[in-house]
Amino acid sequence: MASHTELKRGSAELMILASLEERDRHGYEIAKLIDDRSGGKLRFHVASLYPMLYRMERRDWIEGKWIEKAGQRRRRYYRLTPAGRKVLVAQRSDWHALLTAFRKVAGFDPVA
Amino acid sequence: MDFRQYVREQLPSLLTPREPEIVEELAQHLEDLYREERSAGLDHHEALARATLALTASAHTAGDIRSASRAPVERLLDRVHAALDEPVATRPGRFTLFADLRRDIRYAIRSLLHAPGFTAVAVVTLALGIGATAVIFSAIDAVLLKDAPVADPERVVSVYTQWAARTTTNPGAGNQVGGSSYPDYADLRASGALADLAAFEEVLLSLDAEDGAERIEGRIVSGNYFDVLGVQPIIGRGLRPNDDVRGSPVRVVVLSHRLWQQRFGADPGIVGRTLTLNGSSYDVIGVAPRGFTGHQLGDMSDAWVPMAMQEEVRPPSAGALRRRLGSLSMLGVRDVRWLSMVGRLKEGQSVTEAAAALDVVGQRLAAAYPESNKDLSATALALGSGPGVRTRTRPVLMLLATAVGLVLLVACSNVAGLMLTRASTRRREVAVRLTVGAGRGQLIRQWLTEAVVLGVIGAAAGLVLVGWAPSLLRGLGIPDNVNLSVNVNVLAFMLVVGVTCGLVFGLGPVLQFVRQDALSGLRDDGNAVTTGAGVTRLRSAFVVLQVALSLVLLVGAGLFIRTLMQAYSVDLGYSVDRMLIADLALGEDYSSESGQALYNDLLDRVNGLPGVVAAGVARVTVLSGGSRTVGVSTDGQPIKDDRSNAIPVRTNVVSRGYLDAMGIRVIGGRPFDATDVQSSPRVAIISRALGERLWPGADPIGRVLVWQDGPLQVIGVVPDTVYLRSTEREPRPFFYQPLSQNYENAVSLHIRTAGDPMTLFSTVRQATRTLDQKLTLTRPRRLADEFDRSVETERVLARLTGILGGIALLLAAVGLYGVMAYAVKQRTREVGLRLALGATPASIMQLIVGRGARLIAIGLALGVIGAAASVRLVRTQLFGVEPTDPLTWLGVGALLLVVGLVACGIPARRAMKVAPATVLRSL
Repeated sequence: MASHTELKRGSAELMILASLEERDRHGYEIAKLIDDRSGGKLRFHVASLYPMLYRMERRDWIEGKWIEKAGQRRRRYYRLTPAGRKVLVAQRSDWHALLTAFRKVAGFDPVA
Repeated sequence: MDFRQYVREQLPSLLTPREPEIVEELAQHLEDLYREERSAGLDHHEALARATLALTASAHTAGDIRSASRAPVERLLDRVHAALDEPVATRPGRFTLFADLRRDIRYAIRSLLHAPGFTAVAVVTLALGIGATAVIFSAIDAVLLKDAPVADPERVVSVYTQWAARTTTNPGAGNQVGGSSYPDYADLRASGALADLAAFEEVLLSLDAEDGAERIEGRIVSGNYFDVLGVQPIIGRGLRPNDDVRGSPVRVVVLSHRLWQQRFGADPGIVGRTLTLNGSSYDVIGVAPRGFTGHQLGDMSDAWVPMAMQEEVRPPSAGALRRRLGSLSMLGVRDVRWLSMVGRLKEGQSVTEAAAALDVVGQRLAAAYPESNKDLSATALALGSGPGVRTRTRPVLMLLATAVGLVLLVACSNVAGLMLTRASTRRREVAVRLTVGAGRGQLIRQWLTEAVVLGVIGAAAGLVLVGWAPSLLRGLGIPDNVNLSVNVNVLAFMLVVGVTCGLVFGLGPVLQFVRQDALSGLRDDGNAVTTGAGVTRLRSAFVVLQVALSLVLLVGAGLFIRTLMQAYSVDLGYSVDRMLIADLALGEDYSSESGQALYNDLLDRVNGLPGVVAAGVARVTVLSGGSRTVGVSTDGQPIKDDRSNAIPVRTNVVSRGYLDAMGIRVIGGRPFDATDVQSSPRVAIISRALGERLWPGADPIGRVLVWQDGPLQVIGVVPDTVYLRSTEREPRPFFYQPLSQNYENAVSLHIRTAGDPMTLFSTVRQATRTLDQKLTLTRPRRLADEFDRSVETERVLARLTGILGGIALLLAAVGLYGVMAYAVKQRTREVGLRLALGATPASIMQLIVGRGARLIAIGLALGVIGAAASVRLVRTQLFGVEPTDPLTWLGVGALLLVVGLVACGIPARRAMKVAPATVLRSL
């Protein structure tokens, strides 16, 4: 499944950014969200999720903070920064263009 | 279930300040996973398994997480640490050796870094030893080992005229070689003894430019010079035989690469351009390859012109010769030997065969031309073996090579001692590793690797010293255009020396491993080499060696320093202070009468200048390395053909006022004065030694001196003054002749000034110009500087051996200190006990210093033997001191003793301060 892995790696950042679009989440929530939305097809291991989160944090796309919500122990929540939002929009349009081209060339309709 | 614990176990050494946070975050994630699985119905263990699966998924996790969370600089450091710590992935098979070596090297570097004190001292010690050795090697490489810039240098030979010993001016020196005359050269060439033969000689050319004339050094060469050497010009062509036809001279010139670049801006259209040399127009026909300024070491020729131009560029210089020849051409004269020769061997011909063949031709010429060639022959020597820079500097360089070798030995024994101490510290570690199953061979390899790495690092640090090579070696007679800086040869040499030294001083502790078994290391076995007592014994042996070697070096240095002092203290017979010297060459425009008149006018004018105390003129300048030697008859009869009644005597032609200017007293008779003119009887002033030699015990005034040119009446006597160098061992007698009776067309002005000589130069030059616009005074210099230059070799030798001796002394002192300090540390318990039992601190001091003094004494004794054996070898370099000079030996011995005692005293003082109570408590 090499092709799957390649696609997954390239798109992982987009997925993480997108998962933070509506609201802030912590690491487990991000993984769960992606797992659910993809119907179990795309699953992040701890070993690959957190390095990616930290890298994006260093690039200032997301911001992590320890927050203690009522009734819970404190957890590290990540939020999109304005720069991250810009990246999200840009990557989205890139992927859209790419997939549209694929559709025309390879002759398939990804929107099931 | 504490997932934090689990995370920490899975991810060792995250090595970031954020570690607790990251651990917490990951633990929470796993906990959430676990809960999820539990609520989905799995039992504890399965849920746990599922949750932890997420983290063990990849072996690179720790690295990824760590690097993702750290800044780039930190990540770089991580990589370095990882490289040092992590085991190399070994592939089975032939690469195992390299992989092991790489691992050993990393381990070695890390363990050296963990002992910074030891490493620093060892590296500095090695840097001094190896660096000094490399400095001398770079000189040897550049001077003695370098190939001449010609094609097939082993097939090129220098060819000389050979004088049978008894006919020379110095019969005691054996067969001598010298230059040739043009007719002899032509005959030798035509004989076919060699494949080809070329002639050359140094000339000074005056190159005209917009801003005046520039004097450049050049060579006048036979037309086949470039062919014989196999040197191809990079632009244009070299000289060809048909450029060099006697009688139809062609004014062509080949330029050096350097001159082409500096003076002509590397003009690509240089061929065909004309330039003015010595007043005539020359066509440039080619440019020599880069770096070629002549085929002999130290040549700095910038232009080559054909031999046929000899009258213009190299007219005879000696006045007497001009008068005899009647013309300026020397090419037809067989007995004026002004040319040097270089030839190429025939296919398969050896140098000895060539010499034999040339000898045959030489003897034929001697038979055919008895007046000019009697007792002469010809010979060939390999390029560079005849008189020249190489032969002159070889003894000094070899001497220095020996000296640095000794210093290196001292440095290595220091480091060996240090390594022994280190080995004893790691005794336990070694024992443990042996017990755990590490192979003995592996440990030995590791230890040797560490030693070699240390050696290489020391060699690299020594590069600093090599960078100073040019300034350190200045004054040894190495020509300025020899490149002494670091090159591939020097680097390779240093690497080899570093590795070899490493193997040598790493060997000591290694031998220990061979004998040690694991148990004895774990115990405190007093007999093993690497235990305290054993180490001290070996290190003491090293110290004795170092003291001995230092003595040898310091005695040598002391003798050279004394030589230098003697050289400076010789009474020259004249004063060198405030003397200005400048050269003046009257061209062809001056006849002997007009030239004499000019000299008189000039001297009058100069004497009238403010700041001038006295002025005179001389053909030869003292202390300049130049001299003119002629034969003088011992029995008053004309000199016989076999010269059995002649002695070699120096001569000079000087004006009135020269003796005054130089401060040379006339101790009998009178100086030259206005009565000595062309028409009056020819006179001379002789040195006292000459008078004693020719007329022992009698008054020389009024007697007749017969020399090769005829009789001279002695009118004055002067003291024996120094001529060539103050260190000349057997100064020759000499005599002066008056300029007024012996016209010379090139002289040196000697002016005694009231103040700094150089400030007067422009005034004097102006005075010259007012007499004749075209005349120019060149090479202004102080006689004091010439004197310094004449003793430069002695000065540099003294300086270098002094430095080397000082380094050896320092290293020996450090070594001695180290041994004593170590011994003291080992015996702290014993010292404490003694003090507690009532010994006085002074007696402790005595005990320790006594031990040290014993070592020094043994070292001195051995050193005396060694030095006595070796100083005999340097006798030729000494002046005014005997190799057994007691002052030097005693001084050096005392110095070593004092330094050694101080080196012992410091740890001894520390021993005195041991508090008995603390020691006893630790028992």
